[in-house]
Amino acid sequence: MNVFSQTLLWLGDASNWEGTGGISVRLVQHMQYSLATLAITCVIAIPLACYIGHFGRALFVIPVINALRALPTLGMLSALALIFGLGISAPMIVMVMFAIPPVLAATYSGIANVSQTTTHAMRAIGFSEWQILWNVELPTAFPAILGGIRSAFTQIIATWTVAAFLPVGGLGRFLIDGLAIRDYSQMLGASFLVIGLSIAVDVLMLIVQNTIERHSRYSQLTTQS
Amino acid sequence: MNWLILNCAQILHYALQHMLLSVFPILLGTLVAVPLARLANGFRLTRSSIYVASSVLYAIPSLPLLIFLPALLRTKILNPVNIEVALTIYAIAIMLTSASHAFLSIDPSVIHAADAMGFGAWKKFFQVELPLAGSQLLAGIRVVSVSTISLVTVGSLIGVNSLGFFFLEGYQRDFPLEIWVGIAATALIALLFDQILAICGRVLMPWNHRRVTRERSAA
Amino acid sequence: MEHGLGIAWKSVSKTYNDGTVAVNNVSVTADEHRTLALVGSSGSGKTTLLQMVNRMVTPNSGTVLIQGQDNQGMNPVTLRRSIGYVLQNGGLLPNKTVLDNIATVPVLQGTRRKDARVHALELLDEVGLEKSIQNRYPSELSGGQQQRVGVARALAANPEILLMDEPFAAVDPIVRRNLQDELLRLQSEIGKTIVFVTHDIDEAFYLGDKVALLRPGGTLAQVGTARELIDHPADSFVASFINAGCLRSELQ
Repeated sequence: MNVFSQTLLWLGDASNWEGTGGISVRLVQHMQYSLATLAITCVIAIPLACYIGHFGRALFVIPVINALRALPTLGMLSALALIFGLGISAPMIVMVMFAIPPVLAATYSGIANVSQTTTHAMRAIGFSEWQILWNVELPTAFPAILGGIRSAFTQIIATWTVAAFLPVGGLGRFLIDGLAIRDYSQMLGASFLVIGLSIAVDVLMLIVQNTIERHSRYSQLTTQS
Repeated sequence: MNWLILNCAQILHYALQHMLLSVFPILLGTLVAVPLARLANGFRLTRSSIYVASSVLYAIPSLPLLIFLPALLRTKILNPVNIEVALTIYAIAIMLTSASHAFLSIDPSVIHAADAMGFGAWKKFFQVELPLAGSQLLAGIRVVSVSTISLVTVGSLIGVNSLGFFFLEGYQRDFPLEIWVGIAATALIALLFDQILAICGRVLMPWNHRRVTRERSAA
Repeated sequence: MEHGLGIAWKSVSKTYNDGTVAVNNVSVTADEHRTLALVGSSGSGKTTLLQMVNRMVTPNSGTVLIQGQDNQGMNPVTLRRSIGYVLQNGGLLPNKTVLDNIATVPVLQGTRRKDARVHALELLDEVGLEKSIQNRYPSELSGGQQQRVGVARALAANPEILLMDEPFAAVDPIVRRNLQDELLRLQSEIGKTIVFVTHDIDEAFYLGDKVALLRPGGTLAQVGTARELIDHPADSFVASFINAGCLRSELQ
């Protein structure tokens, strides 16, 4: 049977969408996991990057965090699963760890790109450090931060799929379970769904990012590099 | 510790497998992306479309891609060709953007000088643009290398084995040492490849690594 | 006026795609074996005029004659290899050593690399540089040294014409005077047809056998020797441009 008809057949079968293990439930689960992971990542990475970028302190954190990227995601997932036990905490920790670098790097470079002349001038006319960060640096860095969040988000969506070799929910279930019972139409259908979801999220965020970038009134404050 | 000694041969076997699976996508991805990025830089429209293309390609999750590719390529799911193709796609995705930026970063006055001296298009590409974009291209290749070596392990989920084998077996046997050995070996390979690339850069681009001296006197 | 020799711009105009008028109906000649200084403030079209000679810029109207031949009929790549070109920042290739930078054009023309290097070493001496710097990269040279290498490179293919685009603008005043003297000495030996672009009227007077002063908007204000311009300025613009220059050099 043709690949696409097989895929469509599985996706088109209403019974596959229903129930506790149905596509609808798994899809919502997948997005919940992913959004939660993204939120935790941002809460850690953005303030950290603001601190490093604004004060130019603790710069060593950036290469250290980038070096973490060399660790294989799959390996960290299994290792932490043995340490933290079953459930979503182990994959969550691993994913936050791998999602921090893109958000941190983007935020940091966005903030560090604001020209020294601008911040110096603001300080000279009496802006506090907080006000400089809040009024100039963050708005200027905003498109860059969105770019970092975009790449972190697609990475998180992909990794939750891989994480399904552990006993967690999400769309990855269909792939791993399908693999075990050699149900190819289920595997193909779910693959199609995840790829579509991920590309849709990416393109949507790309559009948002470009729109904001085009309308940004702050772009002239950054130094040309 | 005993496990490590007993399984020495197997670890080496999978490490070798891992390296073999990694080399091809890194090289092919670079060879495809670099000229493509240079061509696309010529026009605003093509340049912005490669940024979108690389973003979309990179957004494709690996595991679903590994399941989808055999159906598209009409290969067996265990065929390593699938993972090679998938990893090459990611390598191209990373390299397209970074190569485009690398060529854009060349000092325009040097390009102007090369034109004024009468370099033809090909000679200018190979003798001026490629060497001058070199250090940034190398930085891109190093990112590709690290990412590829990490992603190879996902192949183990569908049965194409590398050091990723130890992650799954260690998890199933509830044996952390096996997993950590796999992680360490993977990181070592990443480090090894990275150092090899850095050395290549130093040998091929000596002008980036000389001490910069400023002699005011003998002007 | 001698016809057919040197370089002749015939009623050339250039408007860029963004609407900027760079050069507006300029006619001027650069005599053979002499130095023509093109001087003007930024936006006067002096660099555009210079780049019309080696076809880096194509005029919208008018022609440029080189030794009596319309350069539009010449192959741009061959033409460029036959004309020496010195840029403000030297324009050296950062990935090549001093010696290979100088040998660039002869090698492009098909000279064997070994022979080109031997000749390059002689040129290094001719522009007053130590042979010991031959294997350095441009980043390891001072600004003045880079300019000298730039001149040596421009001379390497033994061109009849030398185009110099503000070559000494980026070096400090003492080094600049030094380089200007060297250029005069070199020119007395080699007798090239030189077109020298500068925004500095003193430099133009010092180096140019003939000076062409351009107005903002790319029109020609006056052409003549330094003496002629100083004694008989064509109008108040020329007079004030020269005066400003004199004031500046007095202040220094």
